[in-house]
Amino acid sequence: MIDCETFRRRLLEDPAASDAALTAHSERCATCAAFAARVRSAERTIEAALKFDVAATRAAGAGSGDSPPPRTPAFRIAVGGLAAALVVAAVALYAVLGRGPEDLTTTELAAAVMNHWDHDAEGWLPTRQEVAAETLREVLAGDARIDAENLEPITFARSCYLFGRWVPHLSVRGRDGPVMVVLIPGRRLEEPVPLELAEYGLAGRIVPAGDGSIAILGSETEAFDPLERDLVAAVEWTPPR
Amino acid sequence: MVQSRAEQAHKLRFDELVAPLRDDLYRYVYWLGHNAAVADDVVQETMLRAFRALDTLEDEGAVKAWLLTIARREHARWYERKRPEMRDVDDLSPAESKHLATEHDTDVDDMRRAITALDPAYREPLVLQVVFGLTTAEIATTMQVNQGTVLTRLHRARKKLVDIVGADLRIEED
Repeated sequence: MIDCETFRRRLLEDPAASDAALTAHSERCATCAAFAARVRSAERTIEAALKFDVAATRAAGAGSGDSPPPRTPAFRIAVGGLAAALVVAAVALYAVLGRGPEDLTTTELAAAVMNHWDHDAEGWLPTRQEVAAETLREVLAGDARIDAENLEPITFARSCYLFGRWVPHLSVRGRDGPVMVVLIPGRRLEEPVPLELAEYGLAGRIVPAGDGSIAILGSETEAFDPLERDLVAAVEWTPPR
Repeated sequence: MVQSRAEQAHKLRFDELVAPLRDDLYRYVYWLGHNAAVADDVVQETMLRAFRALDTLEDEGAVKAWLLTIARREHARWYERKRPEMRDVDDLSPAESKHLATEHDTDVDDMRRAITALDPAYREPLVLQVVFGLTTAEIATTMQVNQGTVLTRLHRARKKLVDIVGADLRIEED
């Protein structure tokens, strides 16, 4: 036999609880029986409150005040016209056409990357959709393999003509938005080369990665260190034929 | 792209075991932080990781607890990376809180506000029990506390909530 305190405690722990002891006490104690009825009635309201309409909540949340903080300006800018820095970069670009990445100075390398940043707008779309594995394989074919196990999702992949050759241009989902990644096979670096597009809120580096290097460009507030580390660890260059 | 048989089987297993839990998972994550956009992000990541790690699920009967463990970890990671401003439900304008309100049932509306106002340590076991139907033992495993703690928190959560619908139960304080 259980007492009223135990009966009420057990019901508040689990209103659906039912056993011989609870049943016997409920039959014996009218006050506790009424208590049980109220708790079970309240439980229906609790359940209705907890099991809200997910679709409606997601739709409301998308436009409501509990959205995450606005993204950095890089993803709200209107692309139109070239800043002075890009004009300079564009002029510099003409000098690099026809030469491979291994022939370029670090300044020319950086200029080529920065000039390319707005050529594939799709790569800057904040998306959760990962690129298809087959597409990624095709883009990387002949240049590299990527072990994506410990990498942030790759959301974009395209072969782009930079540095006088076709190279993989990827987007990785960074903490603060899409991050542009360009693989530069065969171009060794001694130390990182900074990238900066301050008027667009973008920054990054071209980092050494064994027999090649990797250009990483994203929001200037991005957490680049772990991203660089993970990318360098994930990329394995394909030996040239 | 032609999928291999193994890939098809993997996807089928995911669709049968995990995909049906998505809405309840969203509700759980939403109640953890009361933020729809965070819930969206965390659920997306959780489902992605669950898909990749599905082969590690040996006991299909434990899929809920397994999925919830991933979600708790992803939710914690989300907040390690970002520090969004948490907003009190009373500060939300009517337009912003429309997903909390129901048109015809003020009791449910009042209950949602009361649940939101609960200490998160009390709210979480309640969500796990009511939304996911977990047993006390499963809740204890998911939250990494002992069963006695789970029972105490469930008791205290309901003691606060049952008064919301107007019943004077004259419940003694512990």
